[in-house]
Amino acid sequence: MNVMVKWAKKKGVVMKTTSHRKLFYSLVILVFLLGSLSLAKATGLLIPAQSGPLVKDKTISLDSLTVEQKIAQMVVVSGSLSNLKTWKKMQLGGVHLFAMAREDLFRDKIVQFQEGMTIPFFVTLDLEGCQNPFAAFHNFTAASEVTTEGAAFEKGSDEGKYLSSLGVTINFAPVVDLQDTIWNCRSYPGSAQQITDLSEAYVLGLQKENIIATAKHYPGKTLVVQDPHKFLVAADISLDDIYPYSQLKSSVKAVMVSHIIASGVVDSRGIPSVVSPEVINAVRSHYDGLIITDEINMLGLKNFYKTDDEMYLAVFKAGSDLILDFNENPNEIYHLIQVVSKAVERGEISEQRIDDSVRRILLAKGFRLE
Amino acid sequence: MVTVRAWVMINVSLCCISILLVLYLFGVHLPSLGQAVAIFDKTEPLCLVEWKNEFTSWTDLDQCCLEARKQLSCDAEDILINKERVSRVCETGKSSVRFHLNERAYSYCRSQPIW
Repeated sequence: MNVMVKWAKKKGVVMKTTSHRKLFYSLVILVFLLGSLSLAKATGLLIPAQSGPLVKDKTISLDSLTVEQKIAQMVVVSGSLSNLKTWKKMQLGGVHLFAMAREDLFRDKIVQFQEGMTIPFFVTLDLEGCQNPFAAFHNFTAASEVTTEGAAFEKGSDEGKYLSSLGVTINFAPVVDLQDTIWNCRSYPGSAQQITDLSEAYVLGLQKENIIATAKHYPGKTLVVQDPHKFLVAADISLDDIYPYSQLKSSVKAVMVSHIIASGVVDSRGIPSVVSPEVINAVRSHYDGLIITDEINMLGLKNFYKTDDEMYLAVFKAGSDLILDFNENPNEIYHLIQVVSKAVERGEISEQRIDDSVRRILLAKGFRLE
Repeated sequence: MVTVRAWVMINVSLCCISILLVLYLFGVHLPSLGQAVAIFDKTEPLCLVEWKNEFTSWTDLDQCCLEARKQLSCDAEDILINKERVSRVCETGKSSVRFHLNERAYSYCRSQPIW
C-alpha cells in the first residue's frame, strides 16, 4: 500500500514538473518574441521607410511627394546617432546638433546623416549669445561683448565660414530679445536700435557664408525673469520688442516663434504664440522666410492641450514651416507625422497649407520647384 | 532537480515580463523607479544659469532642461550657490554658459522626452 502511495505521489510530482517545464518553454518563446518586437519598436525598426522622392537636376515636384513625406520635411529632430537610420528612412526635414567634444565628431555625424539623402537634412544648431556647442575645442565671442557693426559682421562671417565648413545649414541666431536678465549674454547690448543694427550686421555676415540665420524669439521678452509660476510664461509686448523683426524681415531668412503668451501689440489670445494663428499670420503677412517653432516638448505648451495629438495639430494648424521636436523616441515622431497626415486626409488641415511650408523648405534647401 | 515551487516562481516571473512587454508594445508607459522616487521628493527644483561667475535663477524649468541637454556633459557637483545646494553642472567648455541644477531639477530633466 505504502509503495503505491509513494509511487502515486512521485508520479504526481513528475507530471506537475513536466507541465511546468512545458509552460516554461512556451513562456521563454513568448518573452523572446515580445522582447524582439519591443527592441524593434524601441529602435524604430517597425517604422516603415518612405519611398525615394523624385528629384532631377535639383528640380522637384511637390506632387511627387506623399503627404507624409511633406509633413516629415517640416520636422526637425535631435540629431542623435542612435536614431540615425530611423531619421533617414523617415526623410525628416532636419537634425539639430547638441555639443560634442571634438570637431571631427561634428563632421562625421553630419556626413553620416547626409549620406544617400535625396533631400538633405537641414543641419541646425545654436551658436548664439554665449551658447557655443563647440566650446570644448573652439571659442567664439559672446554676442553681449560685441559693440560695433563691423565686429558683429565679422563675427557672423567667421561663424558662417566655420559652420559652412562643417556642413551646418541653419544657425538659430541671433537672439534679438531686447532684455536678457536671465543669461545676461544672449542678446547684443544697447537700445532696440543698436540691438537691431548689430543683429543685422551679424545676419549679413552669417548668410554671406550660406548659413541661414534665425531671428529669435518672436515676439520677444523670453529672457526676462518670470514670476515663480513654472511652465507658464506671459508677457506684455511693446512696439520696441518687435522692432528688430520689422527691420530684419528683408534680410534674415528665418524667424523663431516662442511659447510665450503674448499680449499688447502682439496678442496670442491667451495661448502660446507658437500655436496662435493670429501671431503666425501677423509674421507671415510681411515675411516670406522660414517660420520655425521653438522646441515643442514644453509643459508651457503641452499643458494647454489634453493630449499631445491635439498639441501637434495646433502647432501645424498655426502655420509654422519647421517644427522643432527633440523627442528622442522615434515612434513618437512617427506618430506626430501620422496624426498630422490623417488631419490632412480628413481636411482638418489643408494640403495647400502644408505645401506652402514645404515649398519654402525645399527652396531654402536649394531645390527648384516644378 | 528543480522543485515545483521554483518552476512556479520562474513561470510567474516570465508571465510578468510578458505583460510588461505587451504593455510597452501597446504604448502603455509605466513610471520608472526614478520617476516614482521623484514624486516623493518635495524639494523645489532649482536651475541656475552661470555666465562669468554671475548666477541667475531660471524658473522656466523646461527651457532650462532643454538648454542643459544641449551641453556636452552634466557632471556631479555638490556646492552651495546663493545659499542653494546644487548637485549637477551642465557645460560644454569654460568659455560657454553653464547650468547648475539641484537633484530634483536634474531628475525632472532626465525624465523628459528630450533627454
